[in-house]
Amino acid sequence: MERILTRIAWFVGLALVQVLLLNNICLFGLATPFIYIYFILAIDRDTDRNALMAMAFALGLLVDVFSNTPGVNAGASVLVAFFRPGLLRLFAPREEFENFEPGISVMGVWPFVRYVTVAVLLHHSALFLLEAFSFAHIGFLSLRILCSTLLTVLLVMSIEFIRHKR
Amino acid sequence: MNNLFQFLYKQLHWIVFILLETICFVLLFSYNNYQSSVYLSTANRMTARLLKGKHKVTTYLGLVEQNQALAEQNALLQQHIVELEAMVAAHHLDSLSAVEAVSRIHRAGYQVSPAQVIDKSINKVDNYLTLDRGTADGVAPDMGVMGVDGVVGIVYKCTEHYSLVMPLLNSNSSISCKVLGGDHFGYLRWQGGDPRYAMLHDLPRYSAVEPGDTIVTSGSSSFFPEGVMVGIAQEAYPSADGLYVTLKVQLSTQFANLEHAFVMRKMDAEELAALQELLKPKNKKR
Repeated sequence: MERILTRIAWFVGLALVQVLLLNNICLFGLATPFIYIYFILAIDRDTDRNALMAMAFALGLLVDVFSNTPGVNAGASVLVAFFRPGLLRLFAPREEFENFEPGISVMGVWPFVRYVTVAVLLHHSALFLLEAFSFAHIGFLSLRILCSTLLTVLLVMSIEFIRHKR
Repeated sequence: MNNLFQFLYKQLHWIVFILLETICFVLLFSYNNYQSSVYLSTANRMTARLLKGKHKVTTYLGLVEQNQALAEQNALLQQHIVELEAMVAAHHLDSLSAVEAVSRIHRAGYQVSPAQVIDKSINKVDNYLTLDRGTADGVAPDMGVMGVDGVVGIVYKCTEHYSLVMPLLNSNSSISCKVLGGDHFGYLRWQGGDPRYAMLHDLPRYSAVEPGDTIVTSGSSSFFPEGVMVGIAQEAYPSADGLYVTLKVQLSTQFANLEHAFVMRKMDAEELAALQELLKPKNKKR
């Protein structure tokens, strides 16, 4: 029960931070962080894949509704949720754990960074491509994707370090 | 059949994935135009309410810029007032000579630009204000400075981006003033103490000033045009020799919470000449 409440709190909290704060950020006209993806990345491993995709859809749609981009965040989030088990197998291959929440305490700092970076890169590529829906300015688009990925990864790692310290 | 279900169940995540992504794309395409996206957009009542709350906070954070914009607008309006007053004056002077009309315009020939008071003191004998405009913005020493409510002081020194103003609240400040509607000049000095009051010296005794009269600038110096609000007369004290009266004036400018100021730049000779050229044909017509 407590676990569900914590999850709901994270869900709502991250969505709010994204909508009220981070959506307004556009660093150097390039980088916009999308921190809500942390919810999908840090949820425990054995979460049912379909349930996770449904949650990712809901979360993405919630952010979409506030950013006037129906379908964009939702699509990218579902994509990440779909590929997450594969990514986890790739970067946290230890099978001895029954179930765990991906994080630096379980996976170690660098494997987690790699896991987050790949997932975020996937998410942001999908997101920005869906948003632009053309390859016309592919150079600028790639730059945006890379800068935003960097910013999001930094934010995710900060949250992770703060949680880890506690 | 059983096998088929089992297969489907095994691949359920694919089905869910494709289903959800399809929904996303449908959304993406069907809500692409703004009008149909009312329900899934910021125009929705729930989201709008939340965003309104956010807007309240962000507008508060943006007050500095807002104030800046308003101050600039005020300066523009002030300038319009000065210009319009000059025009009105010119039209009222039918019976007077064109030369005098031009000299009225001449007096009103000020350009007003806004500035922020970024530092000030009011409790010393010689107080100064600092404005955030300097020579780069066209401010120069000996320009008049007024606030929203009336006269503030005179620009004393300038750097490139800042200027020091000698306000009325400085023992060296002396500004020529008169009673509104009267013709007798006196000079306004501050003798320290209460920043709300200053003394208007050397008014002739026969000028018949009464408490409650409005004190304005005389326009006899180039710092200010005629008629800028200075304050309200409070009490009159006869001087020792009985020839003059000294007036205690309640200053209209609230120096304690002064934020915005306007620098009055007197238009230079060429500008004035251009203005006079503009006026000549009009006066000839009459």
